[in-house]
Amino acid sequence: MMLIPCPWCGERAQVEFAYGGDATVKRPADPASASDREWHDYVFVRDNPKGPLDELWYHAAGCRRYFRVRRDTVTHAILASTPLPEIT
Amino acid sequence: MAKPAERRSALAEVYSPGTYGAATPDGPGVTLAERRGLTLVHLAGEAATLNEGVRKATGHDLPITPNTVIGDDRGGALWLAPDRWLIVSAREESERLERRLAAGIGSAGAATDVSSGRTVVRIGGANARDLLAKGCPLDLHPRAFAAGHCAQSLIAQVNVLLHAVDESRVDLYVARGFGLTMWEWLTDAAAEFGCRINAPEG
Amino acid sequence: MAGQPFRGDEGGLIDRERPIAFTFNGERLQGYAGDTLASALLANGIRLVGRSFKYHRPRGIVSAGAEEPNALVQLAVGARTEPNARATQVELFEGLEAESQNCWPGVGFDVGALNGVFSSLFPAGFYYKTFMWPASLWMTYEHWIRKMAGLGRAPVQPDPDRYEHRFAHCDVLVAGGGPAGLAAALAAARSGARVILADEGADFGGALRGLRATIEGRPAMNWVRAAVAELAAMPDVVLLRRATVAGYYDHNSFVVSERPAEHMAVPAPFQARGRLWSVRAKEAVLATGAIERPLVFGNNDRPGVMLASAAQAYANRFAVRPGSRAVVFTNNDSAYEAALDLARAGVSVAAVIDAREDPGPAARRVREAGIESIPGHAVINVQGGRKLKAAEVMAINGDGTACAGGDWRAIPCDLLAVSGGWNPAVHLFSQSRGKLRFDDRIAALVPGESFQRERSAGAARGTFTLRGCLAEGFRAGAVAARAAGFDKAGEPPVPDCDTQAETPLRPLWVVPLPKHTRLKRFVDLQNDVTAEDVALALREGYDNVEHLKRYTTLGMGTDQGRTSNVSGLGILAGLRGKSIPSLGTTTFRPPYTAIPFGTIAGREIGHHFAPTRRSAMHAWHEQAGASFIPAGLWFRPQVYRRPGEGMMDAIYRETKSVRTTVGMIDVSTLGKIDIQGRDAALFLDRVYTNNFRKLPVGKARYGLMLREDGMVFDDGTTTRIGESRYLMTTTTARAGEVMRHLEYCLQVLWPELDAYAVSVTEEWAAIALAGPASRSVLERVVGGVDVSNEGLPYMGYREGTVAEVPARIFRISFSGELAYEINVPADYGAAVWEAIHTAGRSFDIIPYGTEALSILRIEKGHVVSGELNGRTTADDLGFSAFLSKEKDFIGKRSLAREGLWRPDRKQLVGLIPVDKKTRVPRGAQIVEDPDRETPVPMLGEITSQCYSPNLGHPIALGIVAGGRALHGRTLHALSPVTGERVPVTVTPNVFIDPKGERLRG
Repeated sequence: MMLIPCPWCGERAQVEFAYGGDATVKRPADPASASDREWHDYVFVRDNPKGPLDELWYHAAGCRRYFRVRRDTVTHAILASTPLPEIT
Repeated sequence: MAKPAERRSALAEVYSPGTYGAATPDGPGVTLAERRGLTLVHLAGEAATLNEGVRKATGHDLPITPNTVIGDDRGGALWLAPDRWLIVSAREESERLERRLAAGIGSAGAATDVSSGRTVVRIGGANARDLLAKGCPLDLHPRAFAAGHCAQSLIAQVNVLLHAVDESRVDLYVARGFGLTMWEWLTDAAAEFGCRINAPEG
Repeated sequence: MAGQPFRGDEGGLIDRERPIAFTFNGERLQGYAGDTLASALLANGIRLVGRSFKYHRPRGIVSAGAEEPNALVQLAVGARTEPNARATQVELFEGLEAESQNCWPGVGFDVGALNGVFSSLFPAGFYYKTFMWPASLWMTYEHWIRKMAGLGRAPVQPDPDRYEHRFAHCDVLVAGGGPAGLAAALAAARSGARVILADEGADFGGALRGLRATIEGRPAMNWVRAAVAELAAMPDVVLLRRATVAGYYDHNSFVVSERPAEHMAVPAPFQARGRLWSVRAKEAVLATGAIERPLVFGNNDRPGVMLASAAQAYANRFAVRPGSRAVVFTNNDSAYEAALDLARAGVSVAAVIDAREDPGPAARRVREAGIESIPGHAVINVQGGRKLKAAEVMAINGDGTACAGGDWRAIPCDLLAVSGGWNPAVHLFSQSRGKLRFDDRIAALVPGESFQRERSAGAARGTFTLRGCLAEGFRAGAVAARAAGFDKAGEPPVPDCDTQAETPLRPLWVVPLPKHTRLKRFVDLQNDVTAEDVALALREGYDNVEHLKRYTTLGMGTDQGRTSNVSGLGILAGLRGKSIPSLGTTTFRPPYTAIPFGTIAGREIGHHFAPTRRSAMHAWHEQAGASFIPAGLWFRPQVYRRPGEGMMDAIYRETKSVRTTVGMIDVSTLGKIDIQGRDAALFLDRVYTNNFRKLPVGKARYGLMLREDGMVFDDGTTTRIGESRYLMTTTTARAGEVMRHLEYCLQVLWPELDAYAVSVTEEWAAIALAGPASRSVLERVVGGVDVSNEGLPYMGYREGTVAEVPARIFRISFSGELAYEINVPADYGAAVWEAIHTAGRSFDIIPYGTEALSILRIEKGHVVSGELNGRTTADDLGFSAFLSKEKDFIGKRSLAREGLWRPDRKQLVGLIPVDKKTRVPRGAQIVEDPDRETPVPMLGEITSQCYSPNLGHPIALGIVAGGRALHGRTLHALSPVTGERVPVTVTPNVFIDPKGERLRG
């Protein structure tokens, strides 16, 4: 079981977290003007890279924050863990 | 019309003080006591903008360091998230505290009364942390979870909030609907240490 | 009771003051405290302990530890019976009962031994070759294979014992409590690090327990005891005995299987028999020791052929003579010490046979002790069946590929102690994804490059001298502690140990056969895989180690090939003319040794299997005779049957009461989310399809949520309870998902919004009061609110009191009747429920459960999970009016895809059986013409169905292709499960009060 560093709570057992998917996917700023292709890619298409991937994780049983984790999908090494841009 | 109802705990039907489980030479390794009648308010917002209002309403500051608590046995603020706290008071009427906090913070955040929404159990005794470690993946060693710290995690698949009141006592907060199932788990898990259930506090 | 004829009078780590009675195969025997079952059997002269898996050949005790392939026994009887226990690890306790496995009718005469006579019928891969045809007979074959294979018996009664789970954290985990592990634990613990030291044995010391080694001129076990005492006195050291580090997983997480009460017939009250530790270690030291390899020669499986280190351990640790006259056969130095210790224990050691031409000083030392040394030779065969009689010895050539011939000789013996070298126990290292390396010096796999935060020490990394083990242990412990942040951790000085000069081993993977002989040479004793099987598999094309393993079953027994894997590799390499490293190795997988199911389950059994969630009124429901149904983790009242009342009668009674008088239902399980903030309305507008900005304070509105792909996600009512405060409700099923979705939106998509979502599901007990008389009931308990139609109109909201408790009162309806929902703080839920029930008595109020609720909502055509199945759009469900054109919302852009508006999409309809009698089958498919040639085009499916007691006939909801255009048509509901076919008429989905006059009344 992985040990995931929550930027707020520190290293916690994987069982406390839920996976939030690819963090690099951006919701089009104006969905109405997005092309069908752009929208389709946003909703359905995800890379499945071998190696480092920026992911969202959700500290479901902890502080309930989403945050970014850079994880190597081959080794499970956690390369970085950062909060999302400041909530204002 | 009957007189106004009393608050009723989620454990009311099963709560039965006494000593259970293994007979141990030094007496029960675990003590359990429900804390009843607490006022709990969930607070959301920016610490910087909320703090003054909170201090006015409660006399305490909001803890900024993650997973720490400011306050004492009678009341305080538990850190839940960078913009979330649980305000605990053993003194207040719940409605008043929520309103006073809401008035104090104005439109800067959100105060939500959750006094009925949690079951709170105070766990003491030499094996208090051993008991929790049977179901909780947190590191509960005093080096990692010192007095004045709190943490949210899981026990036996249920979300919990733990507060290390001091070296020997931990308060466990669990959603009311899971109160009874958690109580059943605690009393079963405590059996090997010997367990004394005290009268409810508050 | 017989004596212990093979027990020495003194020495050993046993307590002769504490004799222990036990039975083996029904025979009453005696051993001593400190014995294992195996040592006690040997003390009693019992060498034949089981039969082999395939050929049912007689087998004896091979080892003294976890690697044992043969001596598997069934322990105890009744509910506590346990199969496949290794006699070499079972601690003796008073009253222990053990039986041989794998023999029928008994160990002495075994019908299955005929398999040995016909063994040419059982070659490698024989399961695949023999029993796969005809496939229809496999079940028959399997029955007999299982009986003959005798894999032990699973208990058939519930396990009476407790099993526990435990999480633990440490700076340094040390796996293995031999000299290296103890040294590592000492070095780490003295720095202040939190240390867990786990060993599979009943006590620490590892191999030292079976050796006569000294440290600082005194018995090594004195050093062990001092080390354990020092560690035990440290508050941050956890010493785990009878605890196997069984699994090494990601990010330095470990599973340790502890057996705290395995050495007792019955555990103490509340004591765990098994405990599963989940350990997270910052750093780990693997000091798991090494396992001696047997040698592979003719009939090397006979009882009496034993690992040299095991024979030595029985002599030293248990003061047991594992035979009367011994021959030692080796290719390395370690067995010479065994020969000397056996001789010291009173065993007559006839000779040490060494495959090496020049064994060096070790040979000189045995000769000085009067033992014949025979270098350049090998044991090529043994004589004797159930009991060893003699070892046949012959010279072998320089590369070990052929017998030199000529000087054949048989040396009488009843014990043949063998050593083929040592395999470091690299299992945990390999599990951690570390890379193994083949070390030619010891001809074994050793830890290579690490993958996780661990280091191996001592025999586990191929260091076999005591001094080396201690030095590496101290170093590893100090390095681990420093890596865990204890910068000052130092290495204690290494004490003096007696160390002999070593002559390198000579690899000997298989002893050649003399000309014109066909002897069975076993590689894997447990699975009866011979050198010939390996050769045959190779001839048949299985030249990859992974294929070889599966085809021959080499290494696939309960011992997981601990004694056989590397030998098998060596044989394969020899046959292929390749080096061992070039072949790779099979993967070591957790667990290292089997973990009992009880330990895995822990206390998550019975009602602790999963948590349950109960509302504040649960006890009232129980007392009222409710039966409960799980809804997620909640338990909801399903129906309240009266004494003598049938289930369906009760459901229909409850349903009718709501439509004619009044009923009350516990709806506390609906998700409730407090939404506050300056941007709360804007936020709602983005997550709901419909408009909330114009909702006035004190009003509720139905809200529909989509997923980003345009499909309906959830629905509920949201009420504006303050200027910038809303209370959202969700379905029971999706409450958690919706909460997470809102947090995703607020944290990831729109962090700029000033809005907060807080779950208040648990804070409020919720009671729905429904039916024509609901207002009259409410009027009796309400305070401070005018609940008339004018004072509290449909979809209105007021705050007041109910039964003197501050309450939130909503005029909303799921049943389609005049109805209210009352929320009070959950601590008052039971009291308010009781007060309303009491107030409603004169109106014949009844509590109703989820069954009646379901019928009421089908009658009204409301959608729940069957319809909100993740594949339906708002338009499919007739909700396109809720899709705002003025704003963006989650999922809106997907609706621009024309496929979501095709007229032949499956749309929500009502369905009534044409005969108005036959129930529509649950989950039925809907077709136009059931008699058409197959495949019959499927138009849709039944999503909900019931008998409507208010209409007097069955009704159903379904989703049907282009269904809204088919109102009035007759279709057919087919159930491939039950074979039913019911003609149905398509109707609108609202069956009762389509104009909604009742709920506005």
